[in-house]
Amino acid sequence: MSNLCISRLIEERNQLKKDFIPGFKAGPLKTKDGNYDILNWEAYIPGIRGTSWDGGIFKLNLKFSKDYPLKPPKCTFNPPVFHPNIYLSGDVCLSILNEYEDWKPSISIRDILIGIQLLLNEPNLESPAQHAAYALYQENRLEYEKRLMIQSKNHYDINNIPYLKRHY
Amino acid sequence: MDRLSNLRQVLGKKLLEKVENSKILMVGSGGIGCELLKNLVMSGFKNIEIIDLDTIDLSNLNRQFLFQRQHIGKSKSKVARKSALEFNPNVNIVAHHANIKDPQFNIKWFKSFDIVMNALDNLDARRHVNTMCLAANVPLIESGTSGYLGQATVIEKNVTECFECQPKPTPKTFPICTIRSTPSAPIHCIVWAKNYLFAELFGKSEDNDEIDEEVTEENNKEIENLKKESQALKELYQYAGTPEYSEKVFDKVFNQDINRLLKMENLWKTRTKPTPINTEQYKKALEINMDVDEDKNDSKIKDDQKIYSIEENINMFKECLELLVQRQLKGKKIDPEFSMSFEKDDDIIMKFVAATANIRAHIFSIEQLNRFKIKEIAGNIIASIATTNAIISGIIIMDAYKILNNQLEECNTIYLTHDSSSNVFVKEFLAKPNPRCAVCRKSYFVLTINIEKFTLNDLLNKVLIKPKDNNGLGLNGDITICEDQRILYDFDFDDKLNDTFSKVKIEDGKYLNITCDDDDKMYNIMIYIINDSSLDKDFILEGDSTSISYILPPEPEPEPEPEKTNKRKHSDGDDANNKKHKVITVDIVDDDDKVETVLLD
Repeated sequence: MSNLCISRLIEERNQLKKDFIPGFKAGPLKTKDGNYDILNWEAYIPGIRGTSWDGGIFKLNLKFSKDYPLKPPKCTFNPPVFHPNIYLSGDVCLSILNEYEDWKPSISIRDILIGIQLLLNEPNLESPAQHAAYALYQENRLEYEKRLMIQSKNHYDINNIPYLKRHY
Repeated sequence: MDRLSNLRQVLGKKLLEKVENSKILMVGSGGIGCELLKNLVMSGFKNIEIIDLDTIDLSNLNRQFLFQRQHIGKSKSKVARKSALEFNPNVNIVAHHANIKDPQFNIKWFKSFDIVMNALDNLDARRHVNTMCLAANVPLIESGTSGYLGQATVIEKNVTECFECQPKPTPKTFPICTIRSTPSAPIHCIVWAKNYLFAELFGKSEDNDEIDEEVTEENNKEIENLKKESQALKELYQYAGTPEYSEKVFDKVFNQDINRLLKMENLWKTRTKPTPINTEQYKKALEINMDVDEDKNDSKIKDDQKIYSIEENINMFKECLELLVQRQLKGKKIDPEFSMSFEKDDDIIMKFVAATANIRAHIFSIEQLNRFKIKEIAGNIIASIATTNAIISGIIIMDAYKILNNQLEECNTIYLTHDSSSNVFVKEFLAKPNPRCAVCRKSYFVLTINIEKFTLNDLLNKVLIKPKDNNGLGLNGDITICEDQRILYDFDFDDKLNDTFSKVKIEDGKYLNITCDDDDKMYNIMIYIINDSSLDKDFILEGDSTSISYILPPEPEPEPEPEKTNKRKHSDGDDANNKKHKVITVDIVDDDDKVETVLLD
């Protein structure tokens, strides 16, 4: 285990606590034995106000490898989200999460979360990952936005998540 | 004339005595290890411990010359010991067939050595030994080879750079987009075949269990659909064992999935469109039914080197898939959780991965490779050369002499290069520790306790936040206590405070990583735990509490020149960041080892 990775993640965690992003929640997940696993995080990303994502809160898993921060975390929406750049498995396709593109070790977890929030409303059509969402966006924008609004309505109500109430 | 007389003349009586009395630990007895152990026993060293968790494999014999054919399957360290004792029976060699990370190899044990020599083949163990040597304050000679390239350097706490002062280049992970949607090189297809297709069909189904079911409150159709689609390949499993199965799998991955990709036109604006293979073409290929790859021994090598036609690959796909499914069905009968993982030496798995990688390459108009090459890539086989190992081992011995002679300043970091235009050896002065290093700039402590009695709360109150002048560490701020990747305590997690160390499974030999965030200063210490059940007081803390200082934050990276006009362009990674020293980037591998160069995650 790289000490670098653990130290950095603890620092990120402290940083997020101090420099809280309104509406977001993020932190390590509990393991079966009741401890927290610093390499496995869960985050809740709110849809941006005034967009079709408004009202929705989307759960994202962030898996860090021991080579973090040299390597980006793997970010997966769980459950998956209807969006052109999100794979059916929930995996997010975003340039800052890509070692060959814009990932840099200096990118913070905060940057990632905000980046993904922005991506929700601003899909990158150059790099589609989910055909249905991509096609609908291209063919019928109105219908696409409608779908999003339904999705936002159906996604998590933060008050119903016991985990968050207890620990944040 | 005794065997040491020449050595005595060269080294002098005094140094030779030091050499003979020194105690050496050699970690790893593979490629470098075999050469190094031979050197050690022939150059005056008398007390040597070696450790390796591996057993001898046929593929080791070309360069790990302490091993012979009859040793295959036996412990590397034990056989190496025996072979080396034949050269020189007058030395003490203790061989451990074990993992260096096992708790029995604790800090006390490390402290018993004068020099530790790494002859390792992976980053993880190197990091561990680096940390242990820093904590135990024992000099470490670190080395590595890869093909014709090699290097050796000396690490001494507070004097030189440690192994982690400079970030080590790690093999890049391919982004999912490249692997699943837009492959552009043979390796992308191989990663897809190995880490996606093979894993989906035969591997563990870990990810899918995790998808939460909680959302059904409002019968969320969207999610249902998404899940269904991503499950489509798995669902074909119901046909496993029937004659249609291979056809259905083929159609799913090489026809339907490709067609779906084609519908996303934007992907293909700047790329060549893939060409799906439909069921008819598939059946036609099977009709040709050629004699693919008869296992006549003499043709095996030829077959490995040959590029198959698409029809041959399709036949191979069907044949191997059916064999693997049989294996899978048989396995599941015994254990419903049965799964297979990729194994480069399993002929059928290798053929399946090669065939599917090549079919995908064909579809995307990418160059196809022969099976030999695919095996090399999929199995992460890195050529290892005995001569390189021998040269590096020689350098290690020279460094050891200098260390024992108190001439650390004479040691260099030495790179062995393979560049005819320059010197074969490139020397560099040992660098000073990086003041921002999160590993060697930490303070290390050893805490002896009775793990059945001592609690996390005791640690916090009696050790961590207690003032320095009162035998404590005087930390002040937000404290986080971690063991490996587990958080045991932090600002909003104090459930475990009253648990004893044994209850939270912090046993003898474990490290605690403690971070204290005092405004913007990060203090970082490591506490090494020793269990002593007969201890009559609360704890014994060893280490210098005045050495605790905060670690400078990492330097902000210089902004790269604004050359990124085409943001979404995929590059293929081999642009080995031409830093000042080309060689630095290739230090970390020795052997045919499992360095995952092509992880897809």
